[in-house]
Amino acid sequence: MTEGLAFEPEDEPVGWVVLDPDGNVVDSGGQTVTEASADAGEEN
Amino acid sequence: MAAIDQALVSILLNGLTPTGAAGIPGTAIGTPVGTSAMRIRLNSTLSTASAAGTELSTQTSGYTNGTGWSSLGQSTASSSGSAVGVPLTTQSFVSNGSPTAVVSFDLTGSAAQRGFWGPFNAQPVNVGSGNTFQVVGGSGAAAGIQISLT
Repeated sequence: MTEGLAFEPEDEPVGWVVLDPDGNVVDSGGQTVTEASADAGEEN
Repeated sequence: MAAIDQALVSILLNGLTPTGAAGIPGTAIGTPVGTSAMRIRLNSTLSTASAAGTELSTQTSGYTNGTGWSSLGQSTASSSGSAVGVPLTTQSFVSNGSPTAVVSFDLTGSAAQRGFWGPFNAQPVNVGSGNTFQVVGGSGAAAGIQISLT
């Protein structure tokens, strides 16, 4: 059995990237998740 | 607890996202959203529920103020309440800023009505002059922006 790190980062899908003029990735970020709720306007 | 039928969720999602041919809204919600291809507007400030953020100025290439990204492609339609991924086709611009800060987006109809909006993950994204900012395109769950209604 292969031991893993205790806090391995999850593989998050890439949502955006920044490339330099040579096409090298200089920054990236995960997907943007926009979730609207039909409950948002409900009064408690 | 969800307060909306999942089939209705899909009708609304498909009508407010580019799930129709060539990226038009997928169902005929019509006039308020527009019936031509939807767009992504990029902002240097946060959008809110009541107003869009401050739109980016026209960049070196790939982004024009007032037009935004308008060739998103036809997203995979929502089914049984599943999320819609936007865009199908990767979108990009070359920055003329020092840097250009990308903070949020608005998915808008051709009639400029906003559908969904949100901040980019890890915003602000500072894009140095000459560098390229891309939002990853793909089918369904592979797209860079995931839109859902619960």
